[in-house]
Amino acid sequence: MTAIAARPPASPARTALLLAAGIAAVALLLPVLAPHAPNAIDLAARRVGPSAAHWFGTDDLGRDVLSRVLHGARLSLFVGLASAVVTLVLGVGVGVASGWRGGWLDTLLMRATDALLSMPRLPLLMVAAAILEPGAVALAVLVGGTGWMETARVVRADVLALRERAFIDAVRASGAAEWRILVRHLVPNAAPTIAVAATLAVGRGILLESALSFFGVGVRPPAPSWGNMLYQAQQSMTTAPWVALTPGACIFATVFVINALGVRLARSGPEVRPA
Amino acid sequence: MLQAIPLLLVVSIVGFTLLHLVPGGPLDVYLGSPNVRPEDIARLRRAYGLDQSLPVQYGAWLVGFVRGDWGYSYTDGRPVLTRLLERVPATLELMVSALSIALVVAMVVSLWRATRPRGAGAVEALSVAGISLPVFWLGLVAQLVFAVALRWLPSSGRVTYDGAGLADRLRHLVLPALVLATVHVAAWTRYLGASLDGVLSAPWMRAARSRGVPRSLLMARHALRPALLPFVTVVLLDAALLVSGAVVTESVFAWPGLGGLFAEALARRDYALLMAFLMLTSTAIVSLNLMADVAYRWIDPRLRAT
Repeated sequence: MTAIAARPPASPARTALLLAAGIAAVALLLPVLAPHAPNAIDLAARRVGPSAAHWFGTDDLGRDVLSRVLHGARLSLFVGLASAVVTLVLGVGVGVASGWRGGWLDTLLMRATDALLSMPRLPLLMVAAAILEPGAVALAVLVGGTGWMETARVVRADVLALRERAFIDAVRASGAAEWRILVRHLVPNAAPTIAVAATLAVGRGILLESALSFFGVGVRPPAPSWGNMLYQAQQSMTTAPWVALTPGACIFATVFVINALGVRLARSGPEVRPA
Repeated sequence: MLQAIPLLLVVSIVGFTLLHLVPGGPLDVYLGSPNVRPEDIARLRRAYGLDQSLPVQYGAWLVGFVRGDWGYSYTDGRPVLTRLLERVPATLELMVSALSIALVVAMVVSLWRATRPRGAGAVEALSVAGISLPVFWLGLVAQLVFAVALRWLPSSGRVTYDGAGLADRLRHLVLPALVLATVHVAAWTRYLGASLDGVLSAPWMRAARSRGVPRSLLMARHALRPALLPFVTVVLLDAALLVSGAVVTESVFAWPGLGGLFAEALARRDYALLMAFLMLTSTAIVSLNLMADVAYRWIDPRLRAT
């Protein structure tokens, strides 16, 4: 049966998986490199500029900025990655259901998608996060749960095109069960689209976590995340700018790499859909 | 149009439920305060109608909202609508400036790129960088560089003192408008670039070129106009995002607009104000979406016929 089915180009899916594994590995390994404990307070060394002992200086409480950034990577990257997983599960689920089944289900799901797209996402998330005070997992669910609509749209478009293709008829004629067609043949062939959507979702998840934490409603202190380090750094912007510059540069660099990869994937795929 | 009303209802129900999920309800902030006696809280609860069931409260809120009675701010007791309306001019000023900057820069850059293929790589890299920037951090860096280190521009606020001249107001506008524009410049350059590439390879472009149409005219009239068609919708849809995106920029630059008010209301848990802001932004988004639909039909003659 696999002989009939068009084998999906493996590279985008594999690249995305490699990316996810890479991020996870970095997040797990980085804290090991930290020269100090992330929450070790040293009131004698408050707001010390970059030096040999503290490469990126210290913050208001004398905590080592480098160590906090390295530890903060874990929470920021976790929220980014986990929110992307939520986005993908919902987006691919809705997209496939909508495109494969068609009819009233398609109309209903696409109307709902349109409606959700025109919600003020950031303010709603800020209100929800302020009130629900979510932990890292709940935060990822909130961020991912409000961002699946674009993914659903592009996946649906792919499914609409794929389901008319001969190989799907061939698989069906050979007696495959419906779920098997979906899981083994339809979704793998939408992999390039899904991979691009995944990279965008990871980047956006990291940015949203940092924005929420920046307003003090995301990851709660004292646990460091790149966003909440910026929140705490606001007060000492002029006296200790390194406290704000370092975590922001980390967010930027990480999201840039992920987005650049997404652009690459989009270009190598059969159909180019700019974000 | 028909979709707009259910959407607003859904937003209002989600927002209302969220805001009343807090254990103490909207009066939660007063519970821990030593200056507020239990009987005061009971009185406030009755005054705000919080002793009634959630659906009843929602119904009352909805009736008031439709009539233009958006409730009173929990922090200073003034009508919510007044507090919002007095912030609208500042936000509009910032949004319109940011939009204009983003539009002009995106058009110039993508036209430049379309004629010089060698610049494509740099433009691509810059635009990916632009969409990867955390806006609040960009704001902080801009403040550090241009206000603190170079002292060229004021770091925050809209005016130095009340009644300051136009020059002072413009100087205050530069940094927040540029920061707010950056993300959109990046996204729009990518979009318009792709759209232009499609047009440039069209047969009528080759025909015009072979007739000897000068390059500037060729780009401005023959290429840009058709490329702008799909772009207009994107701009209008993104303008809707700008309404909520302004929250970040305004609070970083202490810009006295709606976004700044929202951040303040969030910090103080001013629920009436938060609710009103959510409704105002979703109304703005819905109307801009409708405008995008209409504009698309109006600009593209092929759609007008149907």
